[in-house]
Amino acid sequence: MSAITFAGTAEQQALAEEVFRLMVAQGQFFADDAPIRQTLGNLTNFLAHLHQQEHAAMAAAIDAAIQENQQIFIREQGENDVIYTTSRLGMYHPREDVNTHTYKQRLYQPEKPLPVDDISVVISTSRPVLTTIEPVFISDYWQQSPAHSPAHAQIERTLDEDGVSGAPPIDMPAAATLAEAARNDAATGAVPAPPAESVNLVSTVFTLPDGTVIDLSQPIADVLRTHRHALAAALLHKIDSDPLNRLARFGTLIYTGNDLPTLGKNDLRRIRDDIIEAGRPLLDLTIIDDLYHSQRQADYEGFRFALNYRLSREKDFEYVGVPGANLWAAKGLPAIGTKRVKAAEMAQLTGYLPDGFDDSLEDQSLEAIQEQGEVSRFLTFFEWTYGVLPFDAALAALLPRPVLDDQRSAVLTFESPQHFTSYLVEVRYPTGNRGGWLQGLEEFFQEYLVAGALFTIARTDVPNVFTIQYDEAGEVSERLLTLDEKKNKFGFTEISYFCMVDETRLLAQNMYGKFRNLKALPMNDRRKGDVVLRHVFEVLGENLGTRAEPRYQIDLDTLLLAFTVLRPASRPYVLDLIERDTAVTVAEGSSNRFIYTPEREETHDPDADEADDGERTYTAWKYDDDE
Amino acid sequence: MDAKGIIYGETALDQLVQWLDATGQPQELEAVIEQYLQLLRELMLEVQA
Repeated sequence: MSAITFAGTAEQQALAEEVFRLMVAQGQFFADDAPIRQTLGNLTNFLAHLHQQEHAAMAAAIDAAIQENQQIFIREQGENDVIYTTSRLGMYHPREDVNTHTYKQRLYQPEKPLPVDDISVVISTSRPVLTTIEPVFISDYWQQSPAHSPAHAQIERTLDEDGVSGAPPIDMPAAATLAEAARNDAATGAVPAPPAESVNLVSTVFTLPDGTVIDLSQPIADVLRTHRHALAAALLHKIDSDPLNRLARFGTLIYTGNDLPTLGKNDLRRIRDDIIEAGRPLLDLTIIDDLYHSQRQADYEGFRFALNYRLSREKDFEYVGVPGANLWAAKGLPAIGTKRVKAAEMAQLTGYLPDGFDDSLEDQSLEAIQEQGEVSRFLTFFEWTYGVLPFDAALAALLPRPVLDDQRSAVLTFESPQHFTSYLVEVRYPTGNRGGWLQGLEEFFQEYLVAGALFTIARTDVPNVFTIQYDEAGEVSERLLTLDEKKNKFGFTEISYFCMVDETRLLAQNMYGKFRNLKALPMNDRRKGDVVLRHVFEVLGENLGTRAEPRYQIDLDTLLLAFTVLRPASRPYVLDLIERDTAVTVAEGSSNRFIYTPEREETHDPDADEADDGERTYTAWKYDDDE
Repeated sequence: MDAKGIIYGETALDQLVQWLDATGQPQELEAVIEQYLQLLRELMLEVQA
């Protein structure tokens, strides 16, 4: 500061120095070259009062002293007053930075931008650890470049006031063209036109994670109609993967997740006890009525949702409901249906259905089932014995679909209006290449029906209640095929029945006596279609060859009927097995009869030699008689 | 807001939660999607205006 010298008269020098000290004291914490500003009015007020002089005289003296020291002060005429500017160094020099090409510019407006196929590449769609929406700056360069727009120019539209797409797409020059235009303008000295206002060029489309483009300028009803599944899947995925659980969902119901009532251990124990005591799955409504009736009138639907949502996350509870009837089973509840066939075995036995060998819609179309709300079918021996029904396309059309994505089964009530009885039936839904089935009808089938009977399953007004009926007939007693579980053998037993049957499917001894020779194969073997096929050929086929070199012939209807004694099957499935088995050929002269020629065994069998002489032929029927 | 900046399932999700809260009971997925699209659209128009 000592290097600063002031010009003018001695009085002016003293006054200028005093003004300078005042301003430096004002900006004592400023940077050395930072501007320090003060008005003439303020300086005059202070110094006139300090030196006890006239205001006008002091103002004139200050201004004159400053005018003499223009190397230190910059004088500017402001709107209301004169402003002096100086710095702690003695003279203020405005800073001149060279920022014609800053890092920021280089980053967002590169001279040679890398190609970006889609603007969504720049906007990160990856999920952050915390679901805060981070603003991502995208320079005007990228946003205004049509070549990098995801929807391109044809889907960039302007919105009118109604939000409806109106104006045609605006054609923007490519980036290269813009650069050329800028060079041309520079050459001609013309002022470049300002870039088109981004306000007028807005994108109304966004992209779902699966690539589906959603245009918000379209009516929402149209968007929903076109992209319902994609929108639903994307939203459900986000809801499920939201770590903050802002939204909760149960099936297709959505509600806020943060304020949901919770269920404590005591609540869960009481609910479980309630279900165990009932001995069957209970509706959510019943649980609330039993346990929370008096407490939850105000927020009934909210609490009902919370109950279902919380129970769905508890491992001791299993959802077995259907749309419109939320049923809950608990650990410890007795199993429904037969235990003689394991679930894994049934899933494999019905595996031919998801493999595409389902012919259940040949007799009754899908539309007819859905319109009439009922399915009629003939009972097979396997179904009659174990009380199961394969979950084929006909039953799938009739029965409700699962509510939850990971729902394995549903429990339905089948009512018999003819006998005023009801049965709990568990529907095991198919998964992947494993088939589905219904179980729990063992008692009804064996009490009132026989294999070959026609019965009908129909919907009722209650979503989880169905009726099962059959056509009644006069009493008939016949010796019918049965399975002796203790001996694990088939046999014929006198049975009286009162239902209409298809005579060709009724396994009466007088028609299908040799069926008793079928082996009650272990379920592990029954799931192998080729093993069952050859077994049926060997037991029921007519041997056209010799005992040493047998050739078994059987017609398709008998083959299929025998198949359904041992396992669920369909005609296409059996035909496929036949086609794939190289040892089975079509009989000459009949496309409906097949011949199975077993591979010759190398071991020498003396009995076989004896059997080969003469015209004697071996048939399963004779073998049956021998027994 | 330019629609390009919309992250479906994240943008305006808090407003959707508020709407659900205001309804006072669970809503079917379809109604929620419809409301969400409406929110996104309003957000887009609001910022553009």
